[in-house]
Amino acid sequence: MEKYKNYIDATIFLVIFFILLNITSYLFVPKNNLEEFGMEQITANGVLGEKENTIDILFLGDSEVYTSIIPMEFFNDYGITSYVCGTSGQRLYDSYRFLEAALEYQNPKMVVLETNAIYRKYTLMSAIQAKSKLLFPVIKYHDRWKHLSINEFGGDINYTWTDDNKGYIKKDQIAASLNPNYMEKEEGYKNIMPLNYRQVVSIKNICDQKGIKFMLMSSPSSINWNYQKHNGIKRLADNLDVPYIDLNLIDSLKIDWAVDTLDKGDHLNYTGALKVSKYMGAYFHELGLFDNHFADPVYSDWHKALDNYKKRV
Amino acid sequence: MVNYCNTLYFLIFLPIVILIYNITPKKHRPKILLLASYIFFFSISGKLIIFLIFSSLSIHHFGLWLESIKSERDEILKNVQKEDKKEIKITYKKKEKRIIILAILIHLGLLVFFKYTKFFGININNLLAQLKVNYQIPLPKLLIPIGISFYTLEAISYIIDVAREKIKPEKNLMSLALYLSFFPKTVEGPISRYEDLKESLNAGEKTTYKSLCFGAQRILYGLIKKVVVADRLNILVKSIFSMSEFSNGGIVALGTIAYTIQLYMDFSGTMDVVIGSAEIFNIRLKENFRQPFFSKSISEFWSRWHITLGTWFKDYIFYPVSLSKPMKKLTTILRRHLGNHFGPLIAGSVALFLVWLANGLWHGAAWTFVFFGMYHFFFIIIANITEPLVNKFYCVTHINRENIIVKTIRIIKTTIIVLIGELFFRADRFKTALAMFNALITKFDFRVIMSKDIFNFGIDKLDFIIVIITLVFVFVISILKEKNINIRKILSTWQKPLRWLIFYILIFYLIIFGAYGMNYTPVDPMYANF
Amino acid sequence: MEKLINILESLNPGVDYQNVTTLIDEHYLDSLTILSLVAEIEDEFDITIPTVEIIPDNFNSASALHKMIERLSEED
Repeated sequence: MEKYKNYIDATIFLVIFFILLNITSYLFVPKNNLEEFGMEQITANGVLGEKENTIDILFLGDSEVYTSIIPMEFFNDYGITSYVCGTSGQRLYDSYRFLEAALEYQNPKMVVLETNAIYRKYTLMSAIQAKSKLLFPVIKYHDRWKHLSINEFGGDINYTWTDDNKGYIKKDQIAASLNPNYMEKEEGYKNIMPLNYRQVVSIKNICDQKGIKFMLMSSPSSINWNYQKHNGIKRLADNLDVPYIDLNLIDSLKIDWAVDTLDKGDHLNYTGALKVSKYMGAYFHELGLFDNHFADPVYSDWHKALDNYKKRV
Repeated sequence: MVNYCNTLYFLIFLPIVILIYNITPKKHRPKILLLASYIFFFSISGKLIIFLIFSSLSIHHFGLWLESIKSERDEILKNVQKEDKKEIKITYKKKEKRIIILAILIHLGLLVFFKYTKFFGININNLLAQLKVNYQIPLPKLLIPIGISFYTLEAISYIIDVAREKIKPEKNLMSLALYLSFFPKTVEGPISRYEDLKESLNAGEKTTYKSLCFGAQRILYGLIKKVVVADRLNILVKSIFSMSEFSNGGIVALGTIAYTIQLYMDFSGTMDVVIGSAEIFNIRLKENFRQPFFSKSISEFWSRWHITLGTWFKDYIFYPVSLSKPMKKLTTILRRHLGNHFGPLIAGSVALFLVWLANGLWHGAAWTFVFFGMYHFFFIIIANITEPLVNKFYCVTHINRENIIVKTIRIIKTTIIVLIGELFFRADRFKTALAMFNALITKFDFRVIMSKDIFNFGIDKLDFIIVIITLVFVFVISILKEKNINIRKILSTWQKPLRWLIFYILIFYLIIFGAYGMNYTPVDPMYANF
Repeated sequence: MEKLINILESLNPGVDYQNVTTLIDEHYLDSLTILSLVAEIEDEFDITIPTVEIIPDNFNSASALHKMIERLSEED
């Protein structure tokens, strides 16, 4: 009996520890998706403040996606609502987390993953660490102790804020690309890391479970993209049996690499993003999946956002 | 995984090793430790692990070689007349000496190659430029095997101890390999001796509830020191030491004090994690710190700070040099003329000079480190020379030097000397250090420390409060330790709820107030680079 | 033993050498005094003290020192 006493002690100690960890996590987690509440990456997390079940399409990915997709254009042209959960240098496990978080409140018909993130390497350890921070938010948000106010204790989570550009980040600079002919046809493909492959599969799996259409999209980028990468993603799309659009190969887009990029071909500026969004809007419309919410009173907030957007362009 | 204080080490690596270690049969447990140590080393230094393996093979071989020479000598000694014995002994002593020198050259050579190539290269290039020679030697970009400064000293101590017949040479290669590589001490020591670790490394004692609890407590205490204090002060120290102009001595003083605290909390905190980790496997590593800031003199400070480095220098440089034949002769002659105090001073000073030169260079190839060594050498020599005078002073004035006020004054004096030394130790360049020192002396303005200006260096008022609270906590524990009060024992007599409450408070103190995560860049243990 | 105590007294007076067992640990003997002490003992007892013997265990008390001296005299 004496022998087991230590095991029992240790177990009780750990159980109490995890309970305390959960309690403190609850205290430290941001109660709203605003910076002053300790939320990070607020543009992408603005999706949490959208009215429940109002988003048709969710975009995931890195800076390539938030500089090339303008949800307001889709809404203006076809009444399609969408949100870009893009963060710079996004790892696929981040994409997965954004999807999971957004699905708590939204029930989109489609999820689009921008493919540059699929080639971003990460280690299993960094994925595990990111995961453990999710389990116990106190680890992630512990530094908020300085700014925690009394009335935040015990309050419920209530996300209120959303971004008028719905995740799109507008850039106006121009710096011409030095290699406009980057999409020379090539054989061979760039391999996808097994870890990344599995993470894409897991993203597809949640979509399948919820009956959401999943697709891949490559934004135009003369620095980040080439034919071998295209071939790699094409293989992936075929294996998973999901649609894939590589905007780098669509001639009718007419991206002018002398003026449509803000940083020598790395990202698109506003004029480039506009071309992409016009094309993608038409593509989504033709799918026939989405209702036109333009006149729907439920979406009155979107009209305010649209007005703001129009003022800015 | 360089950092013992990151989650990967103490939440994943260490628990897995503990688990596998304990489910493995006793006989094979040392192998598990060796495997874990090599995985640990490999995860930091990759292929450079061959240098660690080479060192293990090398000391194994040299040990056995020395042994075979010794037994050959003993065999011959058995069969010879008494008068011949002395000569044979001398011949063999010479043979042994050659082997030891070869061994030391190999190990030291590797260390010098890895650590100082760049330093020599830069200085030669500077010289060439000065001489207007239009040639610069190319500087190779060298990665350094982690902990080579530490395990090289361990390797050398093993060979010398075998030669001195202090220990028997080890036949079991694995045991020596584990001695050099044992993962808790890989990155920052403590620099260990084979005789101290031999038994416990090979015993494979299972982890007990007690060893686990004590080890975990020690790790927790170390993490609080390192993650809450050192990593937080890092921000302040970095921004002060990287200023381009030093217009206020008060800020320099703040930076210097903060750096010294950071260094102590970082190094001694990591040592707590290291010693605690080893304790879980029932392996006792030597303590590296004994409340250094209670020292009353510089030489006492160095017997309390980085202790294992100090004793290494004492055993393998100071006494061998000061008691070498020519030095002994010198001492004997001088004592007749100068008396007991000044007689050994020359021999002692020569040896001390070498110790402090080695100490400076060991920390790294830079003039600031050489200066750092000479600086401490200077103060120790001054203390040695003036000792009779000081004794007389206390005698004549009837002041008791153990009196609390006198003691405090001596401690403050020592601390100030240490602080200024650390200023030169930390500065990126000697020139910067001089500029800072100059500001400290000529532009000292005390008001700045009391003003809001001190919050301009990346850490705010609340950060300062957390640092101070933690330091008070560490100070109280230090006083208890200084009074030889066993805190753990007292703690273990308390009621369980109270004990647990304390642990929960400390754990959550660490989680909440630790300087880690989104707003902080991770800091590697500071001595890992030495 | 008496000879040894006399040596110690002459080098560093004011310590109760009969009873103190922490000569090194409590810094009664500093490293310079040890150099003198070694020279003096070697002269007085006609032995050689190798570096390896200079460890706290051998120098912490007069009796430990005495034991070391006896051992080294026998070996010689």
